[in-house]
Parts: sequence; structure tokens; C-alpha cells
Amino acid sequence: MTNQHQGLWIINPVIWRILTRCVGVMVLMGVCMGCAFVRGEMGDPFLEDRVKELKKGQTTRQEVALRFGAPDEIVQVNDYDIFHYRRFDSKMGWLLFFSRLNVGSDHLWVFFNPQGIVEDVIFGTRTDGLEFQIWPFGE
Amino acid sequence: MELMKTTLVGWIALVCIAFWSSGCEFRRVVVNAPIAADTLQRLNPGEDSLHDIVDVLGAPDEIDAKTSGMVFRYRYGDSKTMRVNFGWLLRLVLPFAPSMNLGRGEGDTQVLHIALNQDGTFEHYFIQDPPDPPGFWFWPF
Repeated sequence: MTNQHQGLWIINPVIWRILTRCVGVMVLMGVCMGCAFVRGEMGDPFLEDRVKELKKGQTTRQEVALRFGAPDEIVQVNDYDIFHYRRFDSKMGWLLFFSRLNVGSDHLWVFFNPQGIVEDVIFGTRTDGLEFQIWPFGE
Repeated sequence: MELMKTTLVGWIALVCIAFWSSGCEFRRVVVNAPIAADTLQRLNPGEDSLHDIVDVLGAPDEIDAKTSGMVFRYRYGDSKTMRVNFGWLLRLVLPFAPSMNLGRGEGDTQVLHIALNQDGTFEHYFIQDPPDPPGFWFWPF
């Protein structure tokens, strides 16, 4: 079989290497153009030091409002007024046709007695371990 | 020579798959972490305080009043959406791609309900069985 009969498949190895790299770069560009990482946050993070400043039996309703602003919600349970502060964090990874959005929330609940003094504080974060993920299958 | 042939065919196949797959979409939204029911076994009715509950489960998403005491509520959500644009395939033969989408989304939520006594100690909990995880499927009919 001569080179002419082999047609397309007989290419100088250098040219072949350049050709495959060009195709590789094009595919890579195509993949990279279709990817995005997006983060959305709602509310300021609760700094643990500031939460620790809330002293049971001492801190007043006004002081809490000065530190954290107006609450997102006030819940009345039994004899307590409870200030509820929320924060949301979301991370989305998107690659071509796969995407996954992970949403987590942090909550701060401040319990006040009828005199308007802090009685209890509940605080928890679920946004610390939030990850950017693309693969939508599995866990 | 065979290696070059295989490489070229491989690249062409990859490009074709990428091109065709562009007409599909798989989306998932997960809100909070799944609730592990076995962690609830650690809670002792009438003994564990509000802070013991928070140490095990974190701060609740909601607090509600009940006749005597209160209720903590924790939520987990998972939803999956799939969409296929069959019009995309026509790009092979037409200069434009009409939009012919079929899609479907499924979602599940799991709620944990923890009741506390008037004195703030753990009373009982309710949790639904873990729902079947939603699947990806595009057929809406």
C-alpha cells in the first residue's frame, strides 16, 4: 500500500500532534465556556465573638438590636419573645448540562424574658461545610 | 497508524457526544443536610435540655408554640430537574435549532419535629421515613 492509498491517515507525526492539540484546545474551550460557579449570600455572617457577647440575665433587647439589627422574625412562645436572625448561603456549580445548587442556613435565636432581658441564646451554623458541587447524581 | 485512527475517532465521538448532550440538562437543588434519624436516639425525654438538642442537631429552622412548651422544626429538601431539547438534534440538518423541550422536576422534603416541655427539656420527636430520593426523568406526561 502506498502513502497515497492510505489517504488521510498518513500525516506527518508533527502535524498530527499539532492537529490533536488544536482539537483538544477547542474541546477544552467548549467545556470551559459552559461552566460557572455562582455564590449567593443573604444576610451577614454571625461572628461567634459577637454571639458570645450576649450575656444571659444582662443583655437587653435594645442591645441585641444594636448589635444584630432588627430581627427577621419575632416569635412568641409561652412567656418568651424570641428574636430570630437568619442567614442563607448558596453555592452552585454548573458545567455544560450538569448543575447542582447547595443551600445552607444559619440561625440565631435570642430568647427574652418578660422584662426584655436575654434568657437564652441558640446559635448554629450549617453553612460552614457548604461546597461547590457540579455532579447532580448520588448523595 | 491504528493509534492515530483510534485517537481521531475518539475525538470525533467526544465532540458528537458533547454536541448532542448540550440539548440535555440535569439540575439539582439541595437545601441543608439530610436529617440522620439515628442521632435522635441520643436524646433522653425529660432530661436533655434545649442546648443538648442544639448540640446534636444544630439550631432549628423554625420555633413554634405548643400548649405547654415549644416545638423545634428542622427541614431538608432535595429536588431534581431534567430537561431535554429534542430540537437540538435538528441542528445536524437545519441551519437553526427550534426549541422542543420536554422536562420534569421532582422534589422531596423531610421535616423533623422536636417537642420540648414547659421547662425546656426534650419531650418527644416526630420524623417521617426518609423519602425515596427523587430521580431524573424528562417525560412530563
